Amino acid sequence: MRVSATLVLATALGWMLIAASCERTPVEPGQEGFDFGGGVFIVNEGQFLSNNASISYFNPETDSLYNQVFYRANGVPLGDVAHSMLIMGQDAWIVVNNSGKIYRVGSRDMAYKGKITGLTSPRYILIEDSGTGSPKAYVSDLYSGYVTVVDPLEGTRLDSIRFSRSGERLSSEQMVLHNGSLYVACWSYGRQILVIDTSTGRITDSIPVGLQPNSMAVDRDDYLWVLSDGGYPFSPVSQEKASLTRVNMKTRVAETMKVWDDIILSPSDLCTGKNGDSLYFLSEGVYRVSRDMEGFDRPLVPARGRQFYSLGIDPSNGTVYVGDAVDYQQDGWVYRYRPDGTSIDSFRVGVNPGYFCFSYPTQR
Amino acid sequence: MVKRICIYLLLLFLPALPLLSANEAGADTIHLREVEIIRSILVPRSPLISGGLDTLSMELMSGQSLSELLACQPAIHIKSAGRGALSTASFRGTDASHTKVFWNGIRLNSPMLGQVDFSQIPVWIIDKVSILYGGSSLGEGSGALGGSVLLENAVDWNGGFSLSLNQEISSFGTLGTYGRLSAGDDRIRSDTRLYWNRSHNNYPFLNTFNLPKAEVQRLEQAAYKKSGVLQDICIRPGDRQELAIHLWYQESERDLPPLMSQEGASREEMQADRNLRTSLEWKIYPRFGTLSLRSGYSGNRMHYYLYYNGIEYWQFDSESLENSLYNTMEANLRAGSRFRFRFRADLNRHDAGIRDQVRDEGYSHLRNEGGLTASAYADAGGGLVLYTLIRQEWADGKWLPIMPSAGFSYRPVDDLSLNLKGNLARNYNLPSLNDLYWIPGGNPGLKPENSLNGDLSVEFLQERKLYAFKASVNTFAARVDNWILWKPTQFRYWEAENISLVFSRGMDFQLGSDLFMGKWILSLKAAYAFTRSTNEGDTPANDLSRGKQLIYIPVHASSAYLNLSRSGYFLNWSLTCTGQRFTQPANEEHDPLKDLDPYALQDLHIGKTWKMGPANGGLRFSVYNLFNVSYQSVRSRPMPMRSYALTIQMEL
Repeated sequence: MRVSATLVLATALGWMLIAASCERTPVEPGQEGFDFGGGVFIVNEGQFLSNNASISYFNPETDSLYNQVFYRANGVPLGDVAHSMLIMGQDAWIVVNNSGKIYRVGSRDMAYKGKITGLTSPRYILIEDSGTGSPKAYVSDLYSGYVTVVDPLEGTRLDSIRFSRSGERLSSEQMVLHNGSLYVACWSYGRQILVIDTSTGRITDSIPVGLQPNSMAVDRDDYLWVLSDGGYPFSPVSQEKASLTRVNMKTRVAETMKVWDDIILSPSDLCTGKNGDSLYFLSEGVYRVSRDMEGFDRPLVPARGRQFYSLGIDPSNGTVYVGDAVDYQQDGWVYRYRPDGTSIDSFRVGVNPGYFCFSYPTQR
Repeated sequence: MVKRICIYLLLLFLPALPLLSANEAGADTIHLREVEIIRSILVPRSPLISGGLDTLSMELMSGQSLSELLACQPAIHIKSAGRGALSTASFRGTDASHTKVFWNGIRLNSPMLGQVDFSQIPVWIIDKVSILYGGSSLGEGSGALGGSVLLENAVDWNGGFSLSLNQEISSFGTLGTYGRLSAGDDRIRSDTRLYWNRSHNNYPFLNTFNLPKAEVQRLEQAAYKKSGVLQDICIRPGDRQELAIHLWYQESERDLPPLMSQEGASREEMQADRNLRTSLEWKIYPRFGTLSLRSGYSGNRMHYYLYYNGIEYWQFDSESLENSLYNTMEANLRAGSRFRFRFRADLNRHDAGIRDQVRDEGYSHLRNEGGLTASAYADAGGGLVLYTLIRQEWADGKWLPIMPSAGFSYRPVDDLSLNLKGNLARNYNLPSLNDLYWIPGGNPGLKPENSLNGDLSVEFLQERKLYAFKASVNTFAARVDNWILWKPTQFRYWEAENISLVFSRGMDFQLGSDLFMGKWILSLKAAYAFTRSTNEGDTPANDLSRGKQLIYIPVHASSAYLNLSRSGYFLNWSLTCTGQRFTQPANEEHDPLKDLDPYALQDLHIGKTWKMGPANGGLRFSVYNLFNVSYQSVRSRPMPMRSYALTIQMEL
């Protein structure tokens, strides 16, 4: 009996020790104070279903990098698949795609201000502030078949603009606002740019482009350039070669400027250079082409085995920012290049750096 | 922190050894049955590294699923997306698809997914759980680079008529009813089991993923229900023949809850499964050994949808169907008292496909597989048993490379139950049908994953009248080439690729003892596993994952268990500790976005059984997660905190 009593006592004591040793100290929400100036925010998508999206901030003036600034400012992870970000004045909006919401935070300190919830699969937000009345925000959506109009400050829903073709829902992706018209790319399985008159909220035009327009940019002569990736192998709507289309925003006439030779190539991330006189995009490497379609023969920056995932051009000086997803699971890298393609530096950010948001007027 | 836990466990149990050995006499526990297996060369698995689960644990967890039952095995890591949700098991740092599960010889792994959802296997329908580690699994078939779980329904030829009923009421609106009827004589027996289980599953959890502040919420859209029937019929047509028929049908429906960060449009996500499995086995026992013929069918139908009810939008609405036929012919032949040979032929066929109605896309594929195995066991004398195996397989008209295995078992001292075991094996795992043909992203050019496994084990067992004691230490190493991973592509969808080389190594130990002190019976167990499973593939300079632990594989895991009983009363306390798990391949530590905290869970069961004339009754009260630990097994999928269950048992 003495043996068993000893064992029972020892066991009980051991379990109490184990229970105590496994107890975690609660992590207090961080409330780190930031005061960001001009620079670039990097939206790190994170891994799908892993809730590990994050925001990095880089100040090129001071050469300083801050990772996970949203978490550090608010003590809560950003969410699942952060897709894009918009800064307007003292506010910034971060679109968290697979969490169905958009956070509004301070653009200088990343502190939480509010949120827009109840969205299906938000991709981009674009705000029209005419100076009179309340601003209106347009939110594109991959699956819902609607562009949602919301009050960006209150988060309340104002309107929903139905996107469909022959009864089928159309996805909405990147948006460009120009002279009271909202140009919306219909990316997933789509092949058109829909134009919304923002004063009425009605669709006024449908501009045909190549299959799956994934990105748009406006040049210095107010031409809208549209990059279509052509879909993917075994797609239900088939696959075609990628193409680049130029749209005259006055006449809304589209002209195909380039069709890629190889169907396997899937270019993305179209941007314009500093003065809007050249075009940049990703197609394994980084390409810079003139508006006369010269420069497709070799990349400005070859990928050399890296997984280039995003592209941004600093509108203040034309510096090229390239996001590298590495293996799409671990923290990625950002490489910086001068407009002529010579390397400046690189730094490590969060998982899947997918979008660059400059804290002065943005490129896209 | 888990290191500390393990040290505590060692300190706790090691001093018990000399105390135990000071006792004299014998015991009858489940360990005795394990001794029989170890000592007998007639059992073909004797040189293999194997384990099993004791009947007491199975009895206590009879209303749970296999995922909860296996969670107490530190060498097996259960990754669960929540209570009632998808749960997979990985052995020794390998992938869930490297764990093969067999029910009465029929493989339960989905041919499309390659893995098994352990939450869908009720403990109620299982009589025996055996575990084969690493290369020891090769005799049952290829692909188990980590190991195999064998589930069996065993017939009790000495049993008479019995009727039992268990009713369980537990937290979160959970009800479970389990019935069993056994009848027959020593020529024919029938065993029928029915079960029905449903739960609102709306457990509270601390949501730390949403602003403006962390708060306790109730899980929504996580309800599930499951019901099924198992019918076993065993016949002895003659003295040297046995025919066993097993039939298992199950239906389940479960809502799939959103991630903790989800604040989007109102949605419904649901999965409904229907499974029919049958196994027909005919065994003949001639004087020279055993001959058996087994044929089985596994049919799985799964309906999955994701629907946004606010905008009436179906994002997915897919139905998958799997029909698999399994046929095995086996001969175990004795040649004198020192040799034994085993020959086995397998012929399997999988017809599987999926179609999504929303996108009108999917695939279907027919896969034929065959395999031939020959193995030999030799008693070399002096306590040494040698074992060798060779297996050849083909699939989809292509031959796989030969899979050889060799091992030994050595008992150095005749009157001491000390046993050394070792084996080395080459194994191949075929890509799943989704890996090959999923649209988009399936890659028909994938090669099979191949592994080289080595295991070394020491077991010690001592039995006396007042106690029984067992200790084992297993070490292992495995190199897996052509590891399949899904990676995003330039088209922004994911594609399967053979990209990694993984080196997995480690050790585990298990201690167990039973003490008999008058009317008191005390059982103690402790186990610990150390697993290093690292990416050793070539990586570019900016990829920091080389040499780092694979995601979701804990380096440290341990468990402890105490059962105390006297005159029908019992108290059972169990503890499982799971170490830190990285969720990113570069293994950044102490980062809330990149790792998951370790956790320790304690369960307590108190009960009483009694006899009322011809009937037996029982009452059990259980507390799960006694200390209300908030934890996650999969990132941003909350697990339940403290919960309670009351079980009433009746048996005639």
